[in-house]
Amino acid sequence: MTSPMESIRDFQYWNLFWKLTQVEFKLRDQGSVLGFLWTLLQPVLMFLILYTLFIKWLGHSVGLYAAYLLIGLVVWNFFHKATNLGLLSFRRKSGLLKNYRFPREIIVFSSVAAVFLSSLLEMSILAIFLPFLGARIAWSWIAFPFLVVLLLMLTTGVSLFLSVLAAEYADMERIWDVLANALFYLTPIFYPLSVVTGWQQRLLLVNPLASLLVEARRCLIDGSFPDAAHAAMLTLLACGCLAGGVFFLRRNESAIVESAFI
Amino acid sequence: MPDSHLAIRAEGIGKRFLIGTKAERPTLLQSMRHWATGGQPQRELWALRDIDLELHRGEVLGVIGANGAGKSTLLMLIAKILMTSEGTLDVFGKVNPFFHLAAGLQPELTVSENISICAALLGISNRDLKQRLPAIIEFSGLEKYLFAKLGELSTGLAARVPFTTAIHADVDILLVDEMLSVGDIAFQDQCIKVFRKLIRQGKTLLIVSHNLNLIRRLCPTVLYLKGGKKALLGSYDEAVAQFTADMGVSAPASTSESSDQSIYELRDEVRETGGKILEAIKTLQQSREQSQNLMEEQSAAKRQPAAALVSLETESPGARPATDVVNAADKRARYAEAVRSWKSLLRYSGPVTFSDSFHSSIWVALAASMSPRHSNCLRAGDEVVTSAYNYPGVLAALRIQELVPVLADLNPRSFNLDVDLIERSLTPKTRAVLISHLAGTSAPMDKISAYCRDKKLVLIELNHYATGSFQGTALGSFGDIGACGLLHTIEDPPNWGIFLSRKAVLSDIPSLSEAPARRMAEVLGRVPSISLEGLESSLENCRRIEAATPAWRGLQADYSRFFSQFADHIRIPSSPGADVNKERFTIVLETQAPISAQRLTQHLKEAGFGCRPYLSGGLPYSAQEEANNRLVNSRLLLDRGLTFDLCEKPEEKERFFSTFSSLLHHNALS
Repeated sequence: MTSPMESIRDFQYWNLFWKLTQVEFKLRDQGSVLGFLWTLLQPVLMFLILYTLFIKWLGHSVGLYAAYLLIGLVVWNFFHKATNLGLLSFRRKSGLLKNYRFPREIIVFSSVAAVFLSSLLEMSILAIFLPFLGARIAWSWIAFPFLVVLLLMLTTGVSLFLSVLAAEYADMERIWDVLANALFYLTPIFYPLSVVTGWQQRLLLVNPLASLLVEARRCLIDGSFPDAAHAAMLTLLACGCLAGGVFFLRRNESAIVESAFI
Repeated sequence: MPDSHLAIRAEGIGKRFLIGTKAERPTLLQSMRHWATGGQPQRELWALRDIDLELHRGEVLGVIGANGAGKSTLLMLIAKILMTSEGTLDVFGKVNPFFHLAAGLQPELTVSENISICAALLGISNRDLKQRLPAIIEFSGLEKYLFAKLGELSTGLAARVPFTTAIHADVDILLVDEMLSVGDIAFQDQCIKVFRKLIRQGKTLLIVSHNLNLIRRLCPTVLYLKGGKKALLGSYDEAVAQFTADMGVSAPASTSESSDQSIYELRDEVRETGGKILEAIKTLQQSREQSQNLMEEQSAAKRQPAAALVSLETESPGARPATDVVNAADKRARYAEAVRSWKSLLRYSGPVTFSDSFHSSIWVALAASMSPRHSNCLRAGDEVVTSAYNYPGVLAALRIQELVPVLADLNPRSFNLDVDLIERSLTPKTRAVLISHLAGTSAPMDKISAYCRDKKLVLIELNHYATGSFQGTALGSFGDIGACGLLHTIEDPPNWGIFLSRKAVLSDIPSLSEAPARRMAEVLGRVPSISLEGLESSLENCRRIEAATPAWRGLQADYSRFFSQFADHIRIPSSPGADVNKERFTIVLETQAPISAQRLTQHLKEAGFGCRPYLSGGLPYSAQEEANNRLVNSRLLLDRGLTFDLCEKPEEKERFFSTFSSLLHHNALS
């Protein structure tokens, strides 16, 4: 059995991963600019609604609320879409599982990567808009890609766990619907962390997505580099999550393939 | 240290599945409840167990067995798609599963994109793909469609994408699971050629198929799996003999899947249409499904008359119950009378016996030619040359016996087969010629029977005019076995049929093996057998035909004279030496005729005359439409052959002639 590092080096699977990613991407966004614009519609609408609803209430406590909200939405949007797509990836691709032999995690990787491609575009648009929303371009922005990589690893790890569970349990999709909904409100996407204090705030920060958002805003809006301790914690967590996900998948590989035959 | 030529070594491998007893895919809640309460939500199923296998490079192994015997599981284990539950399995070399290769295809993407997806799935690197792409495109013949969306292609063309890509991947071991069931017959043939080439290159091949013909063509060694266990590993003949013997006893009533592919060895010109014919037969099968239950009862009932026949023929009633004796004696008398009457009507002296319909006769005639008691019997896989147009049921019967029909065109004068046409379709595998007398006349049986004797071909003769002769010898008696009856339409009235036989093949028929008879029954709706049920009815018809023959002869001459004046527009199928007694007259409308066959039929019907396309209605005819496209004369008979009931009353006849002339003239002028 090959380790993930070997798989990455192994050219033929890298090729397969890229092909599957392209397929996912093309089929999701129809591979066109217009198709991509449609996928932007949802976050833009969400932004407009949340902005008009909360600007009066949160406008004073949060500097540059528009930028704050936009960063939150872009990050959340990626996590949410990628986990949703990753969750069902084994069931959608059961034909591949049954008929071809390749490292199974590639299926989840390519699902997440396809969403990541469109999120990358969203992020570049975000970067273009940020100065217009009042954020100053700063050296600290170069730390943002690092956070994006952590986000990608974290999301992939979560997707791996979810996809394995979903391959075995029919109701995983519903359960994740509910959990993701809760997570949306438990992550400081449209509200500042300061709405709660003390132990409640610390509890919120247990959610790695929350601390990742805090750090992302720190470097994009406040112009300061991420907190070293937080960043180290996050890195550890993201690596652990990804490795754990791959390990979990490998442990359950035969169950996944067998479930494809049901 | 494994032997360096070893490709696959399996020692006691097994695969266990956990099958949910309730829901197929459990919910988390269910699992938690079972976990909490200690309930056993699943039960074990051993799909495969105790399999030992050793395969070297360049070897080919066929795997056969009933559905659920573990064939696919074995391949999936070797492909490492599934993991073994026990035993050790070593696979040396790169394995390429040829399963449902279409699984990775994306109908919304272009052909060329799909090729690269397939290549990636098969582990071909981008660089290698670039090198091989021209070869792949050339082989697939899809260069025109490279930028078309795959979904826009026909299924058959789309199937070429993964297959072509797959055979261009480097592999040492190929695993093929029933993949030849997709794609048309030409494509399947292409596959077989490629596999042969790969075998020559020293690749190891494992093939799972229900198509015994395919297995026979490729695999000298066959593994027969039964209920997940190895039932036999041996030569093709051994394994298939045991397999078919087992299936005969316990096989579920499923024939279509396994035998659907058996016509793939058809001539080039009809290969593509073979599939369509099969489809039609399938539909026919479905429509007959309802009668299956009935058939079960009937089959029991019918074996008795067959047994009665044996005793009648051998004149030894044996130990029969006393109550049956009177009945039997009476039947014997009727039987003798029927035999006498038919022999005198046909002016024929060989053996005669009866069945309950013309179709039954066809089926039994075929089965009889396969009876192993004859030195020259037919075997599964033999080619049978026959006409593209045939009586319904003939192709299905050939298929069920695993004979391979080779469809030949018709002679443009007689609209029947002739020696030249037969010779053109001959291959080393041809073992029989099946003649259906068509178009109101007959095939030149003198030459054909001499030819068949010369080439040691079994000759089977089907004659639906019931009576007729060629150069004074009864139609149906030229062949090794002949089936006669009256067939007006595709419907098969369970009425009567007779057999004529050159050799004493008929005595074997009551011992027809159970399995093919059952399968025949699924299509025919009853078990075809020699049966005295048609006896009375055949006697009746014998007398009717005998009485009517002089009148028919006169009318035939009149009609022939009448139609011959339209020589520009009408062809009268004729074969010198043929003399057929029939109550119909058949013509073929020339393409330059001023009125279409449909309109002519319609007008004549409106005027109250019996008129129909020669190949009226019915599935097997229309399904062969495309075959007849290539086989021009068969096509002509299909499209433009018309048959008329003879009008016996002189005034009716005159009215028919004048109506017909005016229709033709009127249309010629307008």
